[in-house]
Amino acid sequence: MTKFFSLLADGLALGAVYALVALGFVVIFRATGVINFAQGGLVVFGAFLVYQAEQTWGLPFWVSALFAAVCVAAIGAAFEGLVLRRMIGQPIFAIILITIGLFLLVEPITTTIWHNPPGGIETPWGLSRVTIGDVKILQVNIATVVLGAIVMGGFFLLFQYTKVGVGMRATAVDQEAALAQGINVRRIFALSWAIAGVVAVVAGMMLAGGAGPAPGLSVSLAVIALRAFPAIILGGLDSPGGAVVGGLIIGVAEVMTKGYVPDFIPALGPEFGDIVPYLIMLVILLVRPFGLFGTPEVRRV
Amino acid sequence: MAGASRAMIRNYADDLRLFPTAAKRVSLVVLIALYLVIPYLINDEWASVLALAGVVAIGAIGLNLLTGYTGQPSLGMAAFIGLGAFIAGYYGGGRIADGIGYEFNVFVYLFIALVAGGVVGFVIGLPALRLRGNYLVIVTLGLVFVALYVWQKWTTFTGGNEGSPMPIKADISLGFWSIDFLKPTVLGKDLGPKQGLMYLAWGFVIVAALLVKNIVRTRPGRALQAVRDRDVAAEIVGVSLFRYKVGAFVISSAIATFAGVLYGLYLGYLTPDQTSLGLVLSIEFLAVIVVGGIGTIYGSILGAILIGALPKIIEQFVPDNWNLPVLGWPIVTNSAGATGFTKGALSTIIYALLIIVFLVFEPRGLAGIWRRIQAYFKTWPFSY
Amino acid sequence: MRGKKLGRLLGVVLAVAVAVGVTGEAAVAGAAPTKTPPNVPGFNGSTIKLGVITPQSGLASVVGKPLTEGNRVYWDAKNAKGGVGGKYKVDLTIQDSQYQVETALQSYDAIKGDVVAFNQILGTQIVKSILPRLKQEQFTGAPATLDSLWVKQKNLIPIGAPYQIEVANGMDYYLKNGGQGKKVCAIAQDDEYGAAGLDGLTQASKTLKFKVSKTVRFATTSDVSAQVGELADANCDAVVMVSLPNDTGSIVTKMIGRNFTPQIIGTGPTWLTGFENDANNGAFYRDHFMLVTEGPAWGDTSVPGMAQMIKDQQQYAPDQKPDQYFAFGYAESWAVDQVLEQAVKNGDLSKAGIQKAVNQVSTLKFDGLIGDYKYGSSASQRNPSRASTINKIEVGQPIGLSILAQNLTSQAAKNIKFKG
Repeated sequence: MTKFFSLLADGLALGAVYALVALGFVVIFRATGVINFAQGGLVVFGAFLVYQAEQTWGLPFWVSALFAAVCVAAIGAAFEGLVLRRMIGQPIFAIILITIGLFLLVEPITTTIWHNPPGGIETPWGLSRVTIGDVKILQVNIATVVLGAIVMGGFFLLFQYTKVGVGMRATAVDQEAALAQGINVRRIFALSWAIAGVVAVVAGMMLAGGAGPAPGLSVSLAVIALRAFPAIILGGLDSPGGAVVGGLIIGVAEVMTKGYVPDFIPALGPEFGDIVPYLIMLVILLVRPFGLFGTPEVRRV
Repeated sequence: MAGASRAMIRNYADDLRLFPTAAKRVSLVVLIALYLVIPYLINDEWASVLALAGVVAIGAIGLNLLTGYTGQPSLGMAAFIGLGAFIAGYYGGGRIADGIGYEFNVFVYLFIALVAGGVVGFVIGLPALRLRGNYLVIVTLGLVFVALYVWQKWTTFTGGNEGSPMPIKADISLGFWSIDFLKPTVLGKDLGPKQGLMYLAWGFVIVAALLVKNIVRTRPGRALQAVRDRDVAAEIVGVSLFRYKVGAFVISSAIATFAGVLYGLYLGYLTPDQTSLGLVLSIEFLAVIVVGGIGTIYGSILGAILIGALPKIIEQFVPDNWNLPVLGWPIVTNSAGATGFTKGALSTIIYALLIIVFLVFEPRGLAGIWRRIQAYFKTWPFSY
Repeated sequence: MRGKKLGRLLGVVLAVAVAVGVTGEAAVAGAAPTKTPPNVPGFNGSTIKLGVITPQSGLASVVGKPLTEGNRVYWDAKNAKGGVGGKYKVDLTIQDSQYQVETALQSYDAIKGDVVAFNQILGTQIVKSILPRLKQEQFTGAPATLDSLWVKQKNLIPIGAPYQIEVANGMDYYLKNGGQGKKVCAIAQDDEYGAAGLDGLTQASKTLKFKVSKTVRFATTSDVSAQVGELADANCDAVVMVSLPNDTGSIVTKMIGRNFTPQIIGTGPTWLTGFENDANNGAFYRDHFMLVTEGPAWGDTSVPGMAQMIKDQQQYAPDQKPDQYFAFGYAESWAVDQVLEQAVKNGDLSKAGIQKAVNQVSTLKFDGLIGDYKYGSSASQRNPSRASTINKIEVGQPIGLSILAQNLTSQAAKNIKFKG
């Protein structure tokens, strides 16, 4: 049972990261109907900006995190304003490809600026553990879950109880009607990208700080972020709550598979865990194409 | 039938013809002449660039049928390219030195790839029937990662993490005539492997282009475009969604796998990892059809040449070290750990910017630009 | 008609020119051997071009960049003294392989016509795939990898003690310093490099009479938590690690996360300068990591080879931080230099001439920078150095290494047999 619980802790931490990345996808999707492939890139960029502020300039961890959040939020909003706004009315596929273009820019830019540094981000928790019964849990994993919960809680409060949140919900339902009601839809778009930027930074810095199965501070964090796609499919593209639940399920499933496959089916190899999220996604799509909590699209022929 | 010998297309019947104008027929002859002559004259470096462009063009033409004409965006290209390349390694004699696989001639393993790609495409196409747009993109994204896993585990077929050497010869013998495309002799002159691949790849570019062009200008093509524009309406007027959506997947996947064989021959060695067969490869094919022009075949070819040649163009024409004038900021560098972009990074950045710029400012791609230039001269002096 | 005639005339002129050229060459070859070597691709009478195929981008560039810098510094110093044979400058043509076999093969094809030999080809898998082409085209290249597969290949100029030797010496040191009877495991990259390390471990286990309890493999830059979990579940006391720096980092992070603290015995390429100060992993390295390398400590100027390298480095790469890959790159150029000197003495810088020169150098000497390498008169007589240096990790030392045992040549290392 010890193994089960330590895997569960790992899985929940990874799940919290997936949930954060997935939330970024959902926020943008609800506002603009776009799947933002660059989200993984924002995760990487956020992690490196925290590294820059903390390790190069010697700022405290939380100040560095704030700095990176502001920068990435601004980058997100600027990209929306300068590029994506011109794409309104174009096919979905073209808009997706634009965000892929942004995604491609991140790798050469980060390696040019930071040259794959050997060190990582130093979080206040380091790699120390707490012991609960027989189970040793990394503090950074607990912190990731807590931090994720705070950020997501904040998002839901904003979404449910503020004027901006009402505007976001209205825009999600019907852009034109929202516009007619005097809601500044453009500002909602920019704000959605900014929020996606902030959650990406939180996800990136926790991954680079040692939470979940992370390769440390590296451009390959983007590949991990891509595994949040199955989370949003599972939860439903337009459901923030679904993103959180989907992220946690996918994270736990992935880590559990990695932990138990060598014991039971060694032939599959530990890498099997990496594709479990996608396999779950395929099954879900065949049964419920709109996800567990998504809005069904009614289409009959 | 009105002869369409004049320079302009004036009615729908003309528009449907394969080569509607005399100018087009002349340009076809010119292109075939170029196809025969260029590999014979070109140096190794540029042959390498153009051979890759040809391989990419074939895959892009297939993808264009699926994405451009049928409206089914797919990020799954890397999976099919990988399938094709490993078929080449296994059936073409790449691993025969280790006592694994077969040593068939090049057309045999190209045919195996065509069939295998079609079968896999059929299997992928079935669930895709239920999915559209965003969902399909994500499912095909998953396909890339699942395929990578399969390649890494299926060691007998792919060599596992160590990867698979590709065939060192791509020969065909018909008794009276034989050629090895990786070591061709043309008119008594020994050409390099990349020149031979140019003949092989561009020959099939022509075949693929004619095939797809013929599909899209006839009834199936109109059906596919109806599916793209409004699938519900298409079904109502009697277009079988099953038949055409799945059919587009099958043909497109078969062509992609076919291109994968040639890609393997081009590379010489293939390891199943993120860098070689990951998402970026899939994106490259999408970029080609976008930059070239979605829904046009010659656009795919133009796009493949531009994207394929981009790293080489940068290598050739960008200086090794270059600082911004006046300000003196280092922009390009080739020394270790120095500030500035390496040429490799620069080429990825330019390529990403090309995608963004084309989508924002010229959604019809290079084909759109080309068409505008043509229109200008055709209607001269009444151009505006 | 006119064009045809002109063409025929041109053909005749060319044929004459070629004939003259051939007889000219023959005359030179027949004359005293120290004459100017005739021009060949890669040599224009004054400059010798050497190819370098190395990762300059991507994660393995942390190895490739300093290594190439070491290559360059050696030649800069040599060129300042006049160059090979006192008069021929050496110029490197560098191609970025991204540590990808595919890209490396393209790079090879791109520059093979412009160089006389390859000063560096980095990556075990990459060398393995390029080797058939080197053989086919009679080329010579220096592999920047310590695999034993190269020892008996006449087209390669290997230097240094192979990974098998590193692992054998490392295990010998561990067992004689408190490791007797402990549970030994291994984690290795899933390719030729990993296989070389594991081969050394298997061979050493026979001489040293220990058992390997668990061996796990991983794909580069993948998630290694499951592999580390298997080792932790097996309660290993010592883990032989065969990886590149990026993966070393993730493996160690996972070990700390599981509170799994075996003694690590790492091959040379596992390490990267700066790891000792890593915020999260630094303490683990300092307490549990043992690195097997070759040669003296960085800056130990009592060793002539090291003194020479430090002098050149201070002059031609003053910003270079202490780095073991830099030292390897420097030694590699040094080895190629000894071959080129011989080839120039023979008056033949052609591919075949360099192949001949390789068989005439008899022993590659590095004045103690790394172990001397016996080459003999043919590739089958080659015998690499069997000595290793065992290091522990210490902050404040150059490269973060402090020497536990220098020039350790164990019986296990002497017993290692090389295939081929």
